[in-house]
Amino acid sequence: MRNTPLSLKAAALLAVLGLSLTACGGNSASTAESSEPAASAEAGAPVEGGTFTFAEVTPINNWQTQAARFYEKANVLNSVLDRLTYFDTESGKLVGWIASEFTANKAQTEFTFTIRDGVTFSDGTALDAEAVKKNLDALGLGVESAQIQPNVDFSAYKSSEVVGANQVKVTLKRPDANFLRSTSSVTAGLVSPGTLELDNAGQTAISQIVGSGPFVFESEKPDEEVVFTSRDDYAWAPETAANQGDAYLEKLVVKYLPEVAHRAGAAQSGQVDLVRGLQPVDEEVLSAGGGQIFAAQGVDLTTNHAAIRIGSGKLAETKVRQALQVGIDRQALKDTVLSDSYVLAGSILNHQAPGFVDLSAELGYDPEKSKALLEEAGWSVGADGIREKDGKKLEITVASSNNSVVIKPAFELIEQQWREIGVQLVNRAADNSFLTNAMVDDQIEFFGTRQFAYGGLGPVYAPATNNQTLNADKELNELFTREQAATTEEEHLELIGEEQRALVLDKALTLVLWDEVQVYGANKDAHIDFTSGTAPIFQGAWKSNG
Amino acid sequence: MSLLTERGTPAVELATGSALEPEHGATPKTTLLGWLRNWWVLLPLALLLAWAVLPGLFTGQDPLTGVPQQKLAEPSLAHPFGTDHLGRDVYARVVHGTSQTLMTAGLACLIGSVVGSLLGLLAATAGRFADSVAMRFVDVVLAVPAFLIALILVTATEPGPFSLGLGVGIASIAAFARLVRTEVLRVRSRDFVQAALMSGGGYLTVLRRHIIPHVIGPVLALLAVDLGAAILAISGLGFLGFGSPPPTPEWGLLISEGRQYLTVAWWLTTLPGLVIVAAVMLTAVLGRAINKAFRF
Amino acid sequence: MGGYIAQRIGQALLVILLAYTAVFLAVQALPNDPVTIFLSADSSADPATIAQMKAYYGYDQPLIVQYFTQLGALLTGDLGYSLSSGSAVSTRIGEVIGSTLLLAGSAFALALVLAVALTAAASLSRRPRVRNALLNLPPLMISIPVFWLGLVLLQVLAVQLGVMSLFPDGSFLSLAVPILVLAIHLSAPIAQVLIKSVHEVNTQPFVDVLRAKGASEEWIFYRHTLKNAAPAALSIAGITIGTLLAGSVITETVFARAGLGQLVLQAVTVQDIPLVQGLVLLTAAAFTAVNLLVDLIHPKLDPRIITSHAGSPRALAA
Repeated sequence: MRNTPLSLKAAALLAVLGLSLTACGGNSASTAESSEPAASAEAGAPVEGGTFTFAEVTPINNWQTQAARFYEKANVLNSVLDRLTYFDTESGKLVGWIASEFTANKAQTEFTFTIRDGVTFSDGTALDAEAVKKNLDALGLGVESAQIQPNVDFSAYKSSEVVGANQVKVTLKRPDANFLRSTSSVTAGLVSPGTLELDNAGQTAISQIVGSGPFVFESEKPDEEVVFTSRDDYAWAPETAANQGDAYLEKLVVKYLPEVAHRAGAAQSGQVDLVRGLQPVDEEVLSAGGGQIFAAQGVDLTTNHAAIRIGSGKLAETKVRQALQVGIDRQALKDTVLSDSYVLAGSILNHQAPGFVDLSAELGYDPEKSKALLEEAGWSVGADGIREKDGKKLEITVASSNNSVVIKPAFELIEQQWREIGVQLVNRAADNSFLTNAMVDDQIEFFGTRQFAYGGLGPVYAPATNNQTLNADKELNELFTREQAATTEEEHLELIGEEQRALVLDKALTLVLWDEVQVYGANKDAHIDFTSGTAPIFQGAWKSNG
Repeated sequence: MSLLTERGTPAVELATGSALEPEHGATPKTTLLGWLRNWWVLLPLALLLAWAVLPGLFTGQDPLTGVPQQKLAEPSLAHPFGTDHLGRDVYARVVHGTSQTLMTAGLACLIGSVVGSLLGLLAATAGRFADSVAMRFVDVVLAVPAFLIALILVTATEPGPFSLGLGVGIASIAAFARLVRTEVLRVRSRDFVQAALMSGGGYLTVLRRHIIPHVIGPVLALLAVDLGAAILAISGLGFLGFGSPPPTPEWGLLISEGRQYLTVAWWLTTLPGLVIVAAVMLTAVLGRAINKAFRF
Repeated sequence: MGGYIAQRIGQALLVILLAYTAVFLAVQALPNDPVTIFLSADSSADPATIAQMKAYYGYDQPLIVQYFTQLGALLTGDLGYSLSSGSAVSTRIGEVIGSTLLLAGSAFALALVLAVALTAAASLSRRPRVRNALLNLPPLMISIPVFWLGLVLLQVLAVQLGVMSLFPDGSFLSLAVPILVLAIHLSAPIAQVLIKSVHEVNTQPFVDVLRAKGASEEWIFYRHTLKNAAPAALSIAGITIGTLLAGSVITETVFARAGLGQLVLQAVTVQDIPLVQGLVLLTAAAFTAVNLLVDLIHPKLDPRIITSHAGSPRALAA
């Protein structure tokens, strides 16, 4: 391979090209594109060794493994913690990882995991059935002594027991057809029993979190960088992983680059090998400068959407919400503030998610229909062009995190589009301190976000305290319960489809925007693949220049 | 962003920086002439005021709604400052943003100067105890990072002219209080004031006739400079993500939001930035001119 | 003098306590408490869980109890627990304070050097044009937004020329550039005061006497004028300490550096009240200590102060 750098470059270039082309295709399965660079890597032997520098968008201080599903945390922990199962994007199937085999009973209330032999945590402790049981208890019941709350995807968890030499049997309080998938989440990462005995401060410090993953903590400069080293005896990658052994890389350095404008330059100049959060206008800059663009599709996540809270009363009527749904010109969003790396949403689930139904025909931009629906709901245009009803103006607010590079401009454009139908949007997107409070305030009409949905849509939308709608909808919850209790795959998928129709069309409790994708910028020499949760797979990564 | 915390401090010095033009020692007689000599300062400042009051006269473009097809266009005759990521005319946004900018910064100055001056006056004229209390208060204001106060205020309410103005205004209370206190003490020690007090003039009368007229000059001078400093402080808050929500055009926000496109569209942050630099420098010169005009 | 020092220390402690109390009250205006915020970061938080955790960390107590509990803990050196970062407030501050001290300390020293250099150049220059240009530098230095200058320097040096790192990697430039950016801003007000004071000193008769004796301008400037102008600049420098923290927030954000400024920003964003309180205590103490020091040095530099402004040497600062 070292003799053929040119052909390698060409391959990489083709991969990038192919990537943008498939993305143009819209609905075409774009998971394949992220594995293409890996395919080109297979053509030449991966280079062993070297230090790989990855720039995240913001530093993380609280590393507690089962809470707060943030990318900046999951992207790193993905290479530190192994899970029982792994979701393989290519086949769309759950495959074995630390659990070599897993089975469920018909009622979806009992699950048995067979634990792989010979796996150890980096502190030398065996990752056996006993260790798995302790982890499952922590996930399902929380760790009271350390003030750690249960994982939201494990809300049905009741208990687990060690069966035989190497099996763990989990019992649920109620059926949950999504339980197995939940065990593939980074937030269900397995830690050493020793870690679980630490206090809150201990379990939140990356230096004290011990996993069985391909990378082990080496050193940390708080708020600036974390360094990990490859674990040489790592030999238990997911069943379908290209690299079954230890990582090619010697070291992994995680840094932070909060300034959006510098990300393309950082990757291009080689100051980092990979950077997350490349903004659309910089994609061209980087590829023109010889860098690579990776669009990692978020198969594990909902689409980017504005979840609707009806607390203020302004959006309490379904017609108003439906009016807003068709009042968004999604194509204009893509043309103006997004790029070809983005696929417009067809539902609340992304195009590759199991059970996805394409509702895009009913999401077409139709301002006239919008206006008509608003009139029907009794909102008529006031003197200043903004609709009013009973003396209240249709002035609604959106909150979102600033970690997404496109969400603020997207809402800026939506704000313009909605002005035409007489709706005033107060755009507080990308204002983190506002979001902090909006998370628990149902008077804030929209929460612009995307969510990990390992446990299906239920955990995201069902609880009365869910931070999407901050409201429990009785009909929806019945639907979620039925879906979780589905006993056959067809029934399960059918019910997932019903949930999407209810959320997006009938109830219009979410305004869907585009499929979740994380656009990474990479140096020309970087070879890397991504998980279905958009996390970089550092275990399989390598650099042409070592 | 020193101006965030300690806006007043540099401001006092800019305002009273008499050494800057030592050659032209102004006397009250030459005041009018001095003002006229400053036409090059007053004219642009008048233009800024006109932008704030009648923005429509200076640009026909819509500052809020862009033409997506024309996004990120370079400066041209049609768009002297180029266009932004949504195809909005940046020049129109600067012109229309003047009123919001001046309103917020103006409110900050008003709060700082009124509260600060009253405190200073109290400290200098109401006896030792009041002096001590007022000055400890000023110490407390200085000891808490002012931008932290601004952050808490904006988080607790919502970013807008009022909360931003208040948050930034608190920062300059200390400077005004100290300035007024020093000036009043200086005037009070003068013979004519002592004489007025001894000849039985009421406290308020002396204050009104003799003290205030002598203190007003430095305060006005500081006010002018403080305005520029407040504009910068607000832009700093915008940079940290504590600015008014879009699509509000506001100078500070224009540069802080434009920075994201630094690599592809330099004009987005540079041209509004130059307007701010010009405005801040002009108010600094104005402050000096006021100070000179009132000196005796 | 001993009594004076004791009185000043007493005042300083009072100021710190008042600052702490003021911020304690101010943060109560924030819409939520740290526990609710922390738990809602995940998909859902159950009210019972929130209540249980609030009780654990003491947020369910009446305000007055919380205040005195915290104050009591403070006396034993316990600053509380930062829920958002999962470590003690003192640990969290300890992790990053070095970085800020290095940045702010160096920037402060450089700012003094820049201010003196600018003053010297302006005062000693014999060409009116050069002199005027130099005199107009401080207002220009103040009117350029710090973050803009930092971003442009990074763009040019790190991205286009590739001579410096975008990250704080310990190399010379990655430290020197942020220091310079912060120092430029800090030096402007100090330079302004120095220039003014130098001008005032220059008009005093003793300077004419020195000139008449045939002393060179340079000699007069360094041996006499600067020495006499120093006290005023010192006062301003003391106040600039507060400025440093604000400047650090922006500089640290632009240059992706760890530090107290970043910590303040993070604490307010996630409403981590114990962290906010700990930081306020730290900055108030630092500010008060430095100014106390300035006040105590002041009379040594300029013995007239004690007599002319009895009891309140800070009057000069205004």
